[in-house]
Amino acid sequence: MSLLKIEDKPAKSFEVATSIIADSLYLVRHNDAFEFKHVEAFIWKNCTGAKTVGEIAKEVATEFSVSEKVAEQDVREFLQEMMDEKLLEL
Amino acid sequence: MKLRDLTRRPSSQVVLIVTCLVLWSTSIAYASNRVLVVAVALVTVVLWAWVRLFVIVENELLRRLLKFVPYFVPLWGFGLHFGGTFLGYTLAILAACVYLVVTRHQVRLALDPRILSLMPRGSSSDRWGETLFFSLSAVGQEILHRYVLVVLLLNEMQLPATVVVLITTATFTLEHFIGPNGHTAASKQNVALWIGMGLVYGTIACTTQSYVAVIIGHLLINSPASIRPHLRGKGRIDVEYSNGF
Repeated sequence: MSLLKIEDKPAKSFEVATSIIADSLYLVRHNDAFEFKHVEAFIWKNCTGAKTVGEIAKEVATEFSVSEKVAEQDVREFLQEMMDEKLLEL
Repeated sequence: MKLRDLTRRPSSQVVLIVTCLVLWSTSIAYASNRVLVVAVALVTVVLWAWVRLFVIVENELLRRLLKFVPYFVPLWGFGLHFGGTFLGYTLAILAACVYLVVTRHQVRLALDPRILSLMPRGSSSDRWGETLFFSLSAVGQEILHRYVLVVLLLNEMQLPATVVVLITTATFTLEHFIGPNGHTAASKQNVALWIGMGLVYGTIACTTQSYVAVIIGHLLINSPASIRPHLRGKGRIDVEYSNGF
């Protein structure tokens, strides 16, 4: 699986269905289900194909009051995991 | 070249299949040599995990059945043992209940109809194939790790029960990592649960010889995964949209 770059613009995969149950967002792709809590759901929401990884990280930093450097590292790691699970496309 | 790519070659697949067939034949021919039988079982469990049966066997159910051949070949030499004690059965079932309680969050998610309804239903043979997989893996793993290995190490080689429990726990846990992709749910929590399960069921097998009891316990533990395929794609889909999700 290719590595995500800071200028890449991730978008939700067409194959993913979602459901919100209680406070969690659930993503389903084929027979795999993923539970996303608040921060992860926020990142997922921003994967519109129009924002770069860097821009998404800035949004996370602002929303959750964390440093941009920490947000960029965490967001990049998380997005890479989602890419590996084929939940996102470029 | 990665090992996975190497084993995918048709020539490698032929070598794997022929090797396993030869080893099984040897195991059956020399069934009285229990060391050989167990060694063949352990080796062929590893080798057979790399065989891509879906290339040569189209039928899903048959493919699932054939995947567990290495676990059942040792029965030719070891026979079947249906004994056990009431304590053994009670402990095995109790341990399974504790396991399900500890993993209740995972079980709840795995069986949540609101999530399952979003998944594809799959064909009948897909669903029953998956049920067969989780059922046979419970039976096969207990036969290998808590029956034939225990009988060999404890009764024939006269090793201390503690050592036998540790060895069989190690083989049971490591078995979840063999094959091209390993186990899809190999998290730290699950590895800890496999180790715990190995220790408990190994102890039950060594102390009470209740080999069928541990099979029943393992079947109970795998029961959510066994019934899950039949719940996929059923019922209404309630999808809530909020803020553009």
